[in-house]
Amino acid sequence: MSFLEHWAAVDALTLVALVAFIAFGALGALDPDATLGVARARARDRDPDALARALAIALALALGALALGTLALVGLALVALTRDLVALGALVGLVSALVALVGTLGPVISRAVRTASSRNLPLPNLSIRRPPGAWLLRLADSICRQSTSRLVLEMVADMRLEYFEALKDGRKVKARWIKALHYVAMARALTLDRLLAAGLSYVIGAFRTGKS
Amino acid sequence: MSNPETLPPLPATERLILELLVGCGREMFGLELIEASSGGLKRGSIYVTLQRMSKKGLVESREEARPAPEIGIARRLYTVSGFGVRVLRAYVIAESTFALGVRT
Repeated sequence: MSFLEHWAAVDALTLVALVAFIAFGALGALDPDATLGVARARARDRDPDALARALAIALALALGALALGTLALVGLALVALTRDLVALGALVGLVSALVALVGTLGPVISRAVRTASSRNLPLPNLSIRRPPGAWLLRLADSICRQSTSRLVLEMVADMRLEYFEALKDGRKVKARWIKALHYVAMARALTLDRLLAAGLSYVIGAFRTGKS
Repeated sequence: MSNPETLPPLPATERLILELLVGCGREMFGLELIEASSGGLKRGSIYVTLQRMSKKGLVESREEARPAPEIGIARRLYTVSGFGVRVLRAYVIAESTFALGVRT
């Protein structure tokens, strides 16, 4: 009996199992996105080893599917040699296909469940940025005198207190308004008052020098 | 700091701050003073005024100690100094004496 004749004798179930194995096993081995998706979800939960663990799981699943698929191919080869082992070949092929299917779809289902559950979580509608007045503090530290720098520090501290209290109460518009108010106050304090004081002290100093 | 032997000038804003600090009897920071003044003090002027008063020795200040997990800039707490209390008393007495003089 030739090889082609043996091949033709392979029953339909074994062929279906083989196709399923190739499809799901290859998908599991070549497209680890499903498992990586779970890893990304875990990484969001601040689990530092999540990615390494998920990759190890993906590799184990792919290797398992490959091993069982190889077993199925051996079974098919045996089927090709003797029709007596057709039933055995079909069984091995079916089992390997099921394992490959579960190995591939497991992470996908897990990810789907995780995504669905994460949608129900109340995600805060906040983003972390620089707190108000950060650039002003940096500027004051670098170019202003110590007294002015202390003044800016004090004003920014009070601004942040009021700003974050408003944010805590969920009043974003009020927080922005407070920030604007404080910036105007700071501008006034740092320009009008300071410049006026500096100008007056300069004039008085010049007057006294001229008088003496 | 002003000479403690002479009575320094006391503008209305500085007097209001001294009255608030004496009346409250505890340390207060800028925002608290603004709130307590119910419109008498403004954000744009209070910090400069407090710094000026600090230089004159009318108030004393310190940075607020923060518990360990808290981060951020420490607020500056102000309290009236002994000299500040004396100056305020002197002005109150002078004012009342002047008012009595006007009545008679």
